[in-house]
Formats: sequence, structure tokens, C-alpha cells
Amino acid sequence: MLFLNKTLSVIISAELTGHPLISKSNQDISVRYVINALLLMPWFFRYPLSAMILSVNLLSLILKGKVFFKLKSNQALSLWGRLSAYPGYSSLKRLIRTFTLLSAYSDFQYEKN
Amino acid sequence: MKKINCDYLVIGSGAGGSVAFRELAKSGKDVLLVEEGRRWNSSEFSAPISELTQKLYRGGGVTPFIGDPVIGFGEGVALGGTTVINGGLLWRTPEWILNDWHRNYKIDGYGVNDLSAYFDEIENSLSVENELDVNGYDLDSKLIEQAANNLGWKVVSVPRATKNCSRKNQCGAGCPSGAKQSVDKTYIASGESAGGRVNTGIKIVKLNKIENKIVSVIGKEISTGKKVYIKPKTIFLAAGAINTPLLLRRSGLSKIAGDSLQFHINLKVFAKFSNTINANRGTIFTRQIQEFEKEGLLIMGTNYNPAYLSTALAHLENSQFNKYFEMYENSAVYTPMIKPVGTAKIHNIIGGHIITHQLDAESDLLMLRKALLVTSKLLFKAGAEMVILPLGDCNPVNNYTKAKYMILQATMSQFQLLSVHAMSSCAMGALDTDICNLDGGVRGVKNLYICDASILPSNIGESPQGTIMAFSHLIIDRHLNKEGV
Repeated sequence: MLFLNKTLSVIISAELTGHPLISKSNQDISVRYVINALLLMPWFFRYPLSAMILSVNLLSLILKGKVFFKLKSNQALSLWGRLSAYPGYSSLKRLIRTFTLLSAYSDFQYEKN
Repeated sequence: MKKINCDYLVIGSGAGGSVAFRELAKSGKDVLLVEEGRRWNSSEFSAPISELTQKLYRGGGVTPFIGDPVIGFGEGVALGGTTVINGGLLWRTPEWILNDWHRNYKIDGYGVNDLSAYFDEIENSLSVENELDVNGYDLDSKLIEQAANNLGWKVVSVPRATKNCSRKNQCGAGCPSGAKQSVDKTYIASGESAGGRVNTGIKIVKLNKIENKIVSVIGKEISTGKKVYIKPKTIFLAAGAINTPLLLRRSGLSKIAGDSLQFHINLKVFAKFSNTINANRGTIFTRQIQEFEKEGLLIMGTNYNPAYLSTALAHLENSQFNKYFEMYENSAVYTPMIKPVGTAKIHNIIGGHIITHQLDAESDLLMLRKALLVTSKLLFKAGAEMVILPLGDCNPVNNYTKAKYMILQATMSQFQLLSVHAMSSCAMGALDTDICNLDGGVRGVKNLYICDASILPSNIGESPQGTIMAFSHLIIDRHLNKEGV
């Protein structure tokens, strides 16, 4: 769970790079939101998706010599961008991105109101 | 184990179950309503939309229909079911659909005249209103109304179950002002006043049949996991188009339930105008373009606030996302909704279920393309300077010719699709092979009736709440007449 949390933090940080309205606290809430979304899914979605998220570390280790969440933010952003062009990872990106944006902008709207 | 006795058990509290509950309670029956979700107050809907989405939708908002492409499906889990999280559209079933059901599915006794009094009753109970645009609101809807008029297309005001809508613009995550007249506030509240009992937080997992009768029902308390044993005399099943067939299958009552689930598909199209629109000050679906209704295509303006806008733009890269998000006050989002030919299938697997869909590679692709072509034409006619289509890897377009080129090149996998209406998974019919008879009774079981979206004979092509409620009224009336009440 700790690995999943750390990996998702980096992915979500990459997804929210260049969103001026979104603060660090909005980002942290998004991480919790996506993890909660995974936990609410039935096992046959939860386990494969979690495995795919964790596999990003393995690919990072092979390609960059470091696990994903220890990469510098620009390296992580570039690797996540490359990976998410492949089948499977593109769907994973779409799912994570939709939840991340929904959570971050929902929280932003809530604070604004 | 908790044990409950009752004469009538209603499973599910959405559009169909709430009608059964109220009508049985009003006729003096000992009725118990069980619902998996919890009771919500309007004041609780002021929380962030994302948080509400996870709590109010089944699976936290993630129920994918697996196929090409994956379709995100949303279904409410709360007292009041999906009526708590829908747009509150309340249509009378069009005569041509009822005639089609009569002609093609031999559905007798469900004609316009048979249902008319029930619709009067429903509209009265839910305070249905269809003239919402006051004080310059709803400009996003008015723009497409004007454009439709210029194009000579049919456009209508939408009847909605609201009382003094204050345009909070978050119908999909519960109405914080309490304006939406969801069935928990109306039908269920009346049923409780008439003496009906409501138990929330209980998921029904099995119906036990001995010979041709259901003798007991097994449920589970969501919070404690404890078993609940209910002994009813008659059961009205209204757990929705997905859970009703699942329950029939798990209980060994039907092998074919859920084999052919029908659904609508929604697309989200973003449009930027030169003037300020303030779409966040207009509410959902106040006008509907019905020119292509008989082909299975409707177009409406949809809820507009930062959270929903972010999901409509989610397929764009961050730089583009920010560029268009900044145009917030000049933009709006529109929803074309189609009735596909393809269907979905529910599969039981250990620890849950999955749903797969099979859209028709030819006719559904043509319909999806048509939906975007027509919507683009309408939006550019309405004065849009730029449109973002819900297609992966697709740049914004600033004229209809470019939009048309992109749409005609689009493959099925590129479409970003959503669905909120599922139905017809246990369709009623006159044949012995149909799961339900015309009274909603499950064939082969004496005391089990279905009264939700799953019994609709085929895909209705519009928001089904009114039809579900009217059918449920008729089913209950027939039952009570048989009982001599």
C-alpha cells in the first residue's frame, strides 16, 4: 500500500503539473481519492489496476535504474508520458486522470465557495 | 442474525420501488422497503462533488462496461436510488414507443390511455415544471434552442421534477438546495407517513424459493456484515437494471436475466462562445433537441461547474486543458445522447460481476458519428467559436468542415463514452420465454414481481424515470385489484 501510495503520488503530481489553480493540498486529496476509488472497486478490477500501477516502478528500474517514485519530477513526467502511450497504460492513464481532475477541481471549487 | 417479518417486501428504493412502497403503504398493507444505500439530507450535498460521487454512486462511480471502447456507467446507491443523482427529467412515454412495444412485443394494457392517469399522479407528486428560464438564466440552453429554430429542428422545454430550482448545477451529485424532487423526498416520505417501514444499509443477496414461491429473503447489513433474514409474503423487486437480474440469477430463478441489457450512451461536447454565457448559472437539460428522436438521438445542455468541466476536458493535454478551462465564463458543455443497437451482458463471477458490451461496429459507429456531426452543426450555428469533441487524440476545431472531417475519420475506440440509463435486462413480454409476464410477475414464481427499469420491453431512447414510475403504478394497481383491495 505504501508503494502504491508513493507511486500514485508521483503519477498524480505529473497529471496536475501546470494546473495553476490546483494547490499541493488539492493534490494530496486527489491521491487519497484515487486510492479510495481503487479500494472501492471489486477485486477483479482492483488487483490488476494496482499491479499495473506498481509495474511502473519495475519498468522505471529497467529503463532509468531507479524506482519510479525516486525519479526527479521531470524524469517521472517524461516516463509516465511515454508509458501511457501503450495499450493498457493509456486506459489506466485515462482512469487516473479523470479521477484526479474530478477530485482536484471539485476540491478547488469547494474551497472557492 | 436479524429476523424481520412483513407481508410485502420492496427491494430497492429508486423510481420503481418507491412507487410500489407508497402505493402498498397507502392501501394499508404491511410493507417493508429495503435499500442498500443510506438516507441523505439535502444539506449533506454541499460537500465536494468528488466525495459525493464516491459515496452516492455504485462502486464509487466506477462501473465500467467493458468493450471497445470502455463505457463508464453510473448508478445511484442511496435511498431514492438514481433519482437522487439524475437530472430529474420526467417524460411521459411517447405514444410511438408504446405503440412499438404493443406491435413488436405484444405489450397489451400499457397504452397512452392506460398510463395517462398515472403520469398525472406522478407529475403532481413530483411537482414537475418545464418553464425554468427566468431572469436571464440558462443562456447555454437558449443558444441551442435559437440555433435549432434557425435550422428548423424540433426543440422542446424539458419537464423536470424540481420545485424552485436554484441552479446549483450539480444534479449529478445530489441537489444541495433541495429543489430536486427525488423519490426519497416524495414517494418514500408519503409511504412512511402512511405506515410503511424503511430499512436502509441492507443489501439483499438471495431469494430462497421452495416449489413455486419465495419463502425467505437473505440480506446483509452493509455496516456490520451481519445477515438479515426476511420472511415476506409477496416481493416487489426493484433493484435496478443491473442488480435485479443479478439477484434472479444468484437465486437460481433465471438463467437468461441480464443477458441483454440495453443502455443509452452520453457524449460530452465542449463549446466556447465569443460572449459570456455563464453556463454555471443555468441548470441541466432545460431544452432538448428532439429533431432526431426517432433515430435515437437527443441533444441537451448539461451541468456546468469546474469539477464537471474538468472531466469533459480530461482527454486534453495539460496545456490545452488550462487554455480552455480559462474560458470558463464563455463556455458550456452539451450532451448528445444516443440509443445504441448494441447491448451489454452481465456476467456473474466470484466476488462480484462484470458487464461487457458489444456495440455494433457499423450502425452504432454511424450513430455516434451522426451525434457529433449534428451537435457540431448545432453549436456552430449557435455561434460557437470552437468545439472540443469527445474523441481521443483530437484537437479542438473552429468550424463545421474541420469537425466533420475529424468525426468521419473517428474510430470506435476514440469515442469517450458514458452511460447513466440501463434497462430491459429482464424485459416483460407475452411469451412464455420472457422473464416477466405483463403484470410484472416473474414466470415460475407465484409471489415475485419486478417493477423497475429492467422490465421495459426495449431501449426507450430518453430518460426513463417517468416510464418506470408509470409502469410500476400500473403493476401495483393490477396486483391490488387481484387481491381485491
